[in-house]
Amino acid sequence: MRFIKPVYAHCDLPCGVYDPMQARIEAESVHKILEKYADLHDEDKWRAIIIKEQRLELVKHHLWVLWTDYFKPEHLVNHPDLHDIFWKATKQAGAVKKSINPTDSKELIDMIDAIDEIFKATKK
Amino acid sequence: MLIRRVVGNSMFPTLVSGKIVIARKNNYRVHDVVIVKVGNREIIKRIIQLSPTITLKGDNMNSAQYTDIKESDILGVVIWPKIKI
Repeated sequence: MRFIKPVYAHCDLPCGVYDPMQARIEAESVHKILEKYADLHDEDKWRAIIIKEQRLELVKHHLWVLWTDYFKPEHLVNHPDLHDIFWKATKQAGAVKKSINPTDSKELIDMIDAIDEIFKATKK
Repeated sequence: MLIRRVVGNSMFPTLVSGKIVIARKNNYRVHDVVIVKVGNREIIKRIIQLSPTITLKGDNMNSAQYTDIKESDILGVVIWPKIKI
């Protein structure tokens, strides 16, 4: 399968457009892939692995952008474990690359949801 | 012809992250969504002005503008999906 090159609607200007949903959508896609994986024909399993790998790279990208570009030092006052949460979420994305267990991808989604809660709290 | 996957939200709701787009090196006009080379990246934005300078902006209300875009940097106009002006 040919890898589809990305085109960025995130500009590093920064444009101020951030949303953990970007990472979550990719993680959900991975979770669905893993839920379906066991029932796939062998000729589709390799495609599933390639797509999973691509999506997880996007999860990591979106998390890193959010972590480094959106969150500020003052956010650590109310969320002192912010860096640890992001570190663990990106590590989990890497772990899911090696996994075909939907439990692992569900754990990644839960971690992204925890980041989303913090993100929403900073918008209030 | 370019086939690309959108990464990011600055064209939301017109194009969401993950959407596949097809672009072609066409004549472009104001309101077209284009793929443009900026530095070592390709970005996707809408043309909001052609004169005196080419200016681009994302459809997301929080998106910033890109000004002074060179014609040679415009790689293609998005032809699929059909995008409303």
